Amino acid sequence: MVINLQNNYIGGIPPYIFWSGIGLLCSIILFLYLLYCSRIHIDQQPVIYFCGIIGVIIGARLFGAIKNILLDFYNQEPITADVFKNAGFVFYGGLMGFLLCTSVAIYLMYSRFDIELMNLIVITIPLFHSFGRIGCLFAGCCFGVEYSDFLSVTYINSQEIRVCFPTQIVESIFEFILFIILFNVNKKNKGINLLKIYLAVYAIFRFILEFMRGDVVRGIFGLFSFSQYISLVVLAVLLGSSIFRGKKDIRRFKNSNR
Amino acid sequence: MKIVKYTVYGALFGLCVGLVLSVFVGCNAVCSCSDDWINAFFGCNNATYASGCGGYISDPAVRSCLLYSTLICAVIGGVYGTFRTLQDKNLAQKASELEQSASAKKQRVAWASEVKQKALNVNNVCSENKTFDKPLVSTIYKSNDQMTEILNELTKISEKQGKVDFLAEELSRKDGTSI
Repeated sequence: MVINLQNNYIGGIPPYIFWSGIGLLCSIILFLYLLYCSRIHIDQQPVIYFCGIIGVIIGARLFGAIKNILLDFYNQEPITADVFKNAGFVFYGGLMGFLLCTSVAIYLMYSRFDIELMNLIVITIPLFHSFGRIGCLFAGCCFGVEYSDFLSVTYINSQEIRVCFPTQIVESIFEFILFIILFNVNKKNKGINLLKIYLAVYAIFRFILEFMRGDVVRGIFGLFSFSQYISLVVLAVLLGSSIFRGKKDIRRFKNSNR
Repeated sequence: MKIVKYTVYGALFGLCVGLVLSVFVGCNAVCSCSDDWINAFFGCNNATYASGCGGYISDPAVRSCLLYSTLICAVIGGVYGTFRTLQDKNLAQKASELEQSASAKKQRVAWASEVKQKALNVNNVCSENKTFDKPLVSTIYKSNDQMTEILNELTKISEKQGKVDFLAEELSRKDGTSI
């Protein structure tokens, strides 16, 4: 596949914005469909989703700035205001921002954390991300290591020609499969916490895929990249909360048997 | 109507979002963005506010961004309106079915109580009539009266037998002729 980065606008729109827009449209339609099929009334729910979208933009940008700060610190360079101006978008930052804003919105609306509603929101995340990665493919960001075999992607711009591993395509396909799995799990078992499943599966996948990424600008600190460290933290938090919950359940079981 | 209403709302919202997005896209049209983009409207690289605005408006990327954002949000608004209409229709249908079943239940309860009342009335009437009814054939065997009658008849027989015996004796004595 050959992509010319000098002339890659789609209908005059930058490719990342175009595909993110398509992804947003599909994920919101899916969310509305899931609301229609469930017992939850559709009335105020889009407000929660739009709060999440604001969280995505702020979170992604914030994490981009944090990455720049850490990179300057690691490279022993002076930290300036340019860390915010030149900050890119980090998916994990967008995800954390989205989850935080939607959780706060749900809590403010219902005075409690509604797991069923949160599950419906979580199902839409991998679908949006799948389209977002197609946007990355055509925008020329988040590319893979040098690779010229099956499914390799050739980027052409004024300065260079780069032949890379199709990390964006791999991630897009994985996200779509994950969306289908979460959709079916939710259909069969409404009580299950899909957020934990999604975070755990995505963290493991991202940790492995990062070894095939070739864009140094994403931030590499020693052995691992910025996103790999975040994946490890996410897995540690999930494991810790599972162990804590397990101990709490055992203690409750012992107390009830006395 | 709701579908149209929410499509229009979506389109308006999309226009606002597009305006915000296009400022970031359009800054490329007026300056190289080496300065802060907002300065482009107030003059950067010797550009003026007017030229900044002109560059912003004439950039096809800005117009495409506005159109794309408006279209996407209009579609979202239309879909929201559709699902909202369908859900409200389902809720109204369920409410009317519930109401119908409640009123039907109420009607059935009213009918049942009417039938019960009628049955009770019939029972009362029948019970009352039963106490005043005389049977065509007496079910009580009047043994005392009948026995008295029988004994009286039997007494009459012995009386009659005595009379017959006396007459016979009379007859046998009168003529000296034994019969």
